[in-house]
Amino acid sequence: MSDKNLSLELAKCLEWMEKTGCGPKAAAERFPNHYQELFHLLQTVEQLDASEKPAPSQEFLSVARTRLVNRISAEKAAAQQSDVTKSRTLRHIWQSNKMGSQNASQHQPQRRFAMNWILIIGLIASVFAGGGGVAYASTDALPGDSLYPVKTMLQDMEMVFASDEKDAEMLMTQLFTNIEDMQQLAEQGRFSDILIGLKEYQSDLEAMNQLRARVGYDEAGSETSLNIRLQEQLQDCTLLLEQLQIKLKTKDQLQTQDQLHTMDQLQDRLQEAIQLTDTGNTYGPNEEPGQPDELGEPNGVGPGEPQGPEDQMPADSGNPDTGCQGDDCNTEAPGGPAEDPGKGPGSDSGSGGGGGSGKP
Amino acid sequence: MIDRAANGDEEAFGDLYERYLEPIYRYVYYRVPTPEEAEDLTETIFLRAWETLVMKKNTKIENFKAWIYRIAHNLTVDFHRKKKPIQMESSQMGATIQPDSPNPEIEVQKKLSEQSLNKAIEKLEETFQNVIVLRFFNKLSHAETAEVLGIKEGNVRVIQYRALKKLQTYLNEDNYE
Repeated sequence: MSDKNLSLELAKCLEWMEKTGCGPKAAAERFPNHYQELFHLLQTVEQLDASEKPAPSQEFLSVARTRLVNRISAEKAAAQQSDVTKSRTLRHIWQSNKMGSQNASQHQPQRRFAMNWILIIGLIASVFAGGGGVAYASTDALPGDSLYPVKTMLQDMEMVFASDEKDAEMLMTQLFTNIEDMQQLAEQGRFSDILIGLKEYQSDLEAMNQLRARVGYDEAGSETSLNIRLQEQLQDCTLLLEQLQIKLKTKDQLQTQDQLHTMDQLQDRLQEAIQLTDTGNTYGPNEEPGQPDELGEPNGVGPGEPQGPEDQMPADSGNPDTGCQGDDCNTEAPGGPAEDPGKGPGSDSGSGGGGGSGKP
Repeated sequence: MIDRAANGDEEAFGDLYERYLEPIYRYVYYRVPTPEEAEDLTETIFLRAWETLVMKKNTKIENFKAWIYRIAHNLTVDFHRKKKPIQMESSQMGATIQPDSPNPEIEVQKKLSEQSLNKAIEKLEETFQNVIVLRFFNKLSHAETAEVLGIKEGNVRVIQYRALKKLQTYLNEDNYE
């Protein structure tokens, strides 16, 4: 007899036990040809039912809800704070427009939405009509140069019309460009300008994290391939920033008092940027980056899986109690599957066989 | 309640959390090295669910239970992808006997049997573990288990049968040792 048929008999026995409250013996007797095997398997199920189930510690349970609600509130507050502080940047306009179109929030007045677009179009017109050459010249500008704001503005504008995936790619390119700019500034000894570059880097990083929060996970909470790729690239950013930090430390002894002060400030900010990039890497689940392994999705049961009609068993007898004999019958009221979303807290925790949950 | 949570009501989501916390904890328990990590991962699963509910407002959640289990499954896979798996200490459950227990001998026997059962479950492969936990610990039906794992109901029955057989073998081996 195949696994398929035996598994069907076993399933029938289990459903019958749940329905009638009968024990393994009575259930297995319904299939005399496989009584022995079914009886032992059903006994194992009984053992599972009666066993102590894993349960969170009392310490965790007592604070779990408050902890989660606090984390959610903190995230909401942080998101709102971020919206307020960034409300004047062009990138915010881009983000709020995208979020607005996704969430269709009633709190964002249509007029503001329209004004944002008018502003963007005005900026594009002014740059391209009045200064195509300026726009071109700004591409080589470094933080602290007079054309640098034009360069960043153009970069931000490019993202206005792009898809989320394209945005992520462009933001990542900007992060790498920021680091390259800072490396060049370090070569030229323009240390105070590196601070401007770092500010731009952090602003881009924040935008990247917001984008990842939005598109980094699919509806089932699984990381998207885009997010995995971004994480790898952010690791490269961390490495480059660390290299820059080391490079700047070796220049430390060459500076005057004023420059030393700037350098101290710069080292602090760099450390902050490194930490922020690293935190960005572990965004989402509270996990540290590690080595991937081979674990994957459940892959079914391989060869011999059931594919055809499932019910080949004789129909159950009309009265579900007729199979119960003597001690094998459970005196408790019969019940179906215990878990029901309609029940109150903890309704899920019971075990059919009476084993309570809770860790000693 | 789900609609309220999706509209940003933290308390409604807190209610959902309380309802599903223990089943989700049990589901991830055997897949992570320590009970503390199971607690942290459980919290992360609900945080992710909240983010998805609130950020992706167009997400239609028809069956919250199946959906939250699906997130749990995906995050457990992510957990292993990012963190090198560590062999779990053979169950820390049932390790202590209360000194005031009325029948210490029976208690010891029960604890030993539970330890052996947990050891056997830990030895099972991932899919077998999932089905055992969902079916016999969390009391999901065959159909619900199939939905959570994204497989056919018939496959759940076959996996259930094979998992129980394997469990029986491990338990017998443990008794002989």
